[in-house]
Amino acid sequence: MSLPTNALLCLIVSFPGWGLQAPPQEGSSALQDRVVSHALENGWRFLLLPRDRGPVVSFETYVAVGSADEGPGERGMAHLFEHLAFKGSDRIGTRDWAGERRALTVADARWDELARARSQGDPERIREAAEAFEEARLESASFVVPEEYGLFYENAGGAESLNAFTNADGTRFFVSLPSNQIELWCWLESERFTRPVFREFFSEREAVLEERRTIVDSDPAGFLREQLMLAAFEQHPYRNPVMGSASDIEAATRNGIEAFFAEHYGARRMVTAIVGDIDPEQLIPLLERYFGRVPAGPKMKRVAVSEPGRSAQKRIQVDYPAHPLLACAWLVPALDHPDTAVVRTVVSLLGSGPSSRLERRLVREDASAAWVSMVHGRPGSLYPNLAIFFGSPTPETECADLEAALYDEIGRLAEEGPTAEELEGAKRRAQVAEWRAMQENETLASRLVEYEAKTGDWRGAFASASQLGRVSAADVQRVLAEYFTEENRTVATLRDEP
Amino acid sequence: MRVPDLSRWTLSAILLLASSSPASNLPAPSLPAAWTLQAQPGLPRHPSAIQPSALRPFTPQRPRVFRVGDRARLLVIEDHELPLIDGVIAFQGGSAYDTEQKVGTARLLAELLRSGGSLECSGNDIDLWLDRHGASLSITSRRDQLRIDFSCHPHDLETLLEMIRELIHEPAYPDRSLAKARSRILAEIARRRDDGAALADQALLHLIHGLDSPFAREPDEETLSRVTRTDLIACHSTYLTTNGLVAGLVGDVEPELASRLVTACLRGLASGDRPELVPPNFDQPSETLIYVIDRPESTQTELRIAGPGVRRRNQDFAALRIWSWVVGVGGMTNRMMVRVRTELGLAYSVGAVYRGGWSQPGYLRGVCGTRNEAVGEALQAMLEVIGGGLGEIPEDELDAARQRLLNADVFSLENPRKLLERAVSLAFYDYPNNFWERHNDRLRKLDAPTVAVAVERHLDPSRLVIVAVGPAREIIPQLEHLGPVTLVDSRGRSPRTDDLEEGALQRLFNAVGESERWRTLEWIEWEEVATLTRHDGQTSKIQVHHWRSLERPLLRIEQTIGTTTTLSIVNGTEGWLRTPTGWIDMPAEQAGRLVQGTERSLFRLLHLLAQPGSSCWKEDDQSGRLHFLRRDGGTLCWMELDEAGFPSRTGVDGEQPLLFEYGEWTQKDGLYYPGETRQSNSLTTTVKSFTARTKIPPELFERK
Repeated sequence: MSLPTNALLCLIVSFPGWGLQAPPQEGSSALQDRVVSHALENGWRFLLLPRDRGPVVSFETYVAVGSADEGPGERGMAHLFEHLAFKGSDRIGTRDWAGERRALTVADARWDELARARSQGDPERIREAAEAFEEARLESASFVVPEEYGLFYENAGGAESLNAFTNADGTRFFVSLPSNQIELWCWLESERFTRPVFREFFSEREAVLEERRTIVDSDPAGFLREQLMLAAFEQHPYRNPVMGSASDIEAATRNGIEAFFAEHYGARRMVTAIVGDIDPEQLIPLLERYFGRVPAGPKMKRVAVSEPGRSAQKRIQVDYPAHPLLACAWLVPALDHPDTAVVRTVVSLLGSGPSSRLERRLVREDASAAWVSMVHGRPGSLYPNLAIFFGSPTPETECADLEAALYDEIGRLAEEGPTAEELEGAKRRAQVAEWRAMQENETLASRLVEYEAKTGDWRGAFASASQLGRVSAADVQRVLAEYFTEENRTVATLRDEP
Repeated sequence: MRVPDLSRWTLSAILLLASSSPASNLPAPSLPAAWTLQAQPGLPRHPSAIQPSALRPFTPQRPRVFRVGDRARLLVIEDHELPLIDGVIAFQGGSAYDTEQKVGTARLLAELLRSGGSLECSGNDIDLWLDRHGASLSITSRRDQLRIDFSCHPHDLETLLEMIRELIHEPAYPDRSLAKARSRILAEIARRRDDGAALADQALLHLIHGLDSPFAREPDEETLSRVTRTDLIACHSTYLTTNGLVAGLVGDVEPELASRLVTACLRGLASGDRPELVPPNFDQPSETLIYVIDRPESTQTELRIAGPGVRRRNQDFAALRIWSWVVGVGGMTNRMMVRVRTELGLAYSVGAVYRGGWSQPGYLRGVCGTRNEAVGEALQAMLEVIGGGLGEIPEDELDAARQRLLNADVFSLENPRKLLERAVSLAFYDYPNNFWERHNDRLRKLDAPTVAVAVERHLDPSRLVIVAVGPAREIIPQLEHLGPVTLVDSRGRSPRTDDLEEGALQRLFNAVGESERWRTLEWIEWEEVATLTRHDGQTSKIQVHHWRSLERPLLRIEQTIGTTTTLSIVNGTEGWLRTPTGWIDMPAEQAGRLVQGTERSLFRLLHLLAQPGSSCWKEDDQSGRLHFLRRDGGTLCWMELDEAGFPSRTGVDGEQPLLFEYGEWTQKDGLYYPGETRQSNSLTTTVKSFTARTKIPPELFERK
């Protein structure tokens, strides 16, 4: 079977209901109609979606506190809190809270003494202070029931799904459980935001430093990404590394993270989606009982700093012992901006999928790239962010070859505009991606909280594909000319050339 | 992220939900002894006070099964919630079937079949169509499976299956694209070498299975350059057959329509012979050995630990799995996570799990990434946790692991796509449909003594293989007290200890038969009569019939004393003994001893020496002996040649009893074999017949 262009068009239009004018919301409207939104008095918002696939439920809580909310000396605190939020409370994770509290206070004081000794540089004093600190740390650890908080989730069936992650905009906590464990989830989830205890702080801080070594320091792409953000954002806290800086993490204290929690966390910054075998009518009273006790906390706050306009391209070179990598980034608008759908279309046309222009030219035809990819919404999407091209040259080529071809393709697309077929393909891919995200309770919950927290309307989770349907060739050309320019660009290359 | 994305079990259970409310049987962590705070009014003061109701009854979907032609099967699960269909066609093939000289053939086949398209529709045309329709199509080569995965809107299913039909029946394999496909594969391999974790994983496979094992090797420029278009076409016709083929569809599709379309797609495909695949050897050392790959620039060291494991159908699999959930997998509360991460703060990612293989034995795999200065402490802690797992696990801890496993399993049952993937795997590897139900029944019944016995059968903490990838200068001093440390390259190879003595090798193979003949041998069979002289002077005659693999731990020994015949079989890490009263499982230690006999047998030594570029030996200038080297540089055993070049003695220093002396050599099958051997403990054997073969009938090594 050969498929010339006109045959493709015939195939497309020959299927009723799946033609050029694909029906909006096909397949997902029934899900959308079942979403129940409920807000508590303290501001915690819940999105409930009953789904009869089996006796299981997925929970995802989005906390609108991310690395962009961190100030100087706090880089990495949102991520550190994410880890410590599994350590329990004064009622869970301890053998004797009164005794543990005293021991924790002593350990904190000994840590401060050790920090002072280190700053003064007297080896003997450092040794003595280190020994005293270790003794106090072990004493506080003797009160701990290790991982008791997680044990309840894991025993209930959440062992493989219990997790959390942090990005620049927020932190997500998620788990899937059998549906007879909903009350257990209510107890545990509300508890950690009501009366958390950051026990085992010092060992968890070490684990976070290990995570940073794994994801950033030991990974060429992770290392390049972090350097790219630092170069691309001059003022906006999107330049903060999500993993934090090693020095800030090493200097963090338990009191410091308690202060960070008090300043940033509370019900008004929470959105939770619950998808699966639930009855909203029965569930809402339970949510009121458990989550109504969580303090409202600070109001939603937006970062006031905006990134200054660009007047010239920025370039950095990162020396790292690995195969070369190229990253080119352009500053593009936030998620709630009307041009975001056009940016998504541009990214899809250029670098997403096997028939995207860059994949075809660089990987298939020229064989100048081992791989290419293009993403947007990095490191977050609440504020103006980056659309980024990543690529790696083959042994026979260099980053400069990729870069030249990239700009050439962007120039061609800006000049000629996309074909109708290309636009239709982008829309179809977005539609399928949206459906795929709805297949699993977990990913559907994730989309619901994403849109509710960032745009104030969860319905966007069901409409992102149809937004792409309204993008025209002229829109694509306008957005390329406006955002994908030389002066709005940051280029980072990774090379093994010390 | 709180929990690292360690390799996860994809195993599951059925009937859990229909059984007596497992969630209500949760072990309730005890309340803190000195807990004095007032509870929130109206709320339980501790989660242990919450009593979950019984889970509502739930019957997971069963796939509809259709025969496609004589030998293929199609499994279909309907799910009409969203207009999507996912599909898979799995063929018996994959990288483990590549020949040694052309490693990478299956991978190139997958790459070029997909990107090159068919005679009717080029790869670019396929890409364009897929993108315009939001559909996907990928072809991948696994170790033992060639696989086509696809997804589409229901309206596009017929067109997409027609494209797949053309790919299967009329592949293009365009010659002009071969170089590009090679280059892409090499670039991908090169990129993985930037990743310490990937390096550690690959080196571990080389070390436990052997550098040239089909289950460890990976292509390089040389092997890929040997693969021609003709090879790909030949490989295509060998492996893309209906024999053993399993297809699956899940989503918005009517089963009968699915059957009609898939049947049309596969019609005319040859039935072919199901290719044989010999399970990999686990090269278990006689003591724990540590291999270091130098990565001077790394700020973190990747650690891997391995020990022999079992297939999923092995009766011990359930015990090893539940043991894993106690010791090192399944969230944050297993012993290793609590000890190494929570208490010591030495790692973000740490764990250990018995990975059960479908068609070949799996293995124990420990994983950890830790800062360089803490490598010794982290490894020691991991080894202590593994060693501490021997013996009986406290019942409450075992129960908690059991509940975690069974309760988590519901998530494999409610999702139609996971259900289909599970069903396809069972069908592809010829496991019974109710395998997971039976597995879960076994999990429910396991008690601590049974688990302890099973674990002790397979786990020997003093004979593990360990890999560390990090800055050698910094980490080796921390590791030396934990076992012999050897610096190896990224493929797990030791530096050469000596230049090859071509003259000695030449002399040897002039005498015993050409090296190419010995090199290509896979197994040998011989019969012998052994006379055993006991300490009181009495003698016994034993007739023995041996079948021994030269590459893998496969052996079969039939032994007759008087009128009594016994049969011993060792297959990988499993061993059985058939006595006149029936089969009994062989203790792992005994199986290991029998395999060790193979390791040092004269025939295996000759086979090893005949390998191209063999560096497993060195000649002792003073004694004139050829020393066979372990990977750590130590001596495995030695061999002496007589004036004509024939081996005259082999033995082991410092170990007794193992000393063979060889007298008359007789030629058969183009090879010479010793007619009489003598062992130092008064066992004299006379070889009656000898056969060298290059093919192994696998049923010889099964318990039948």
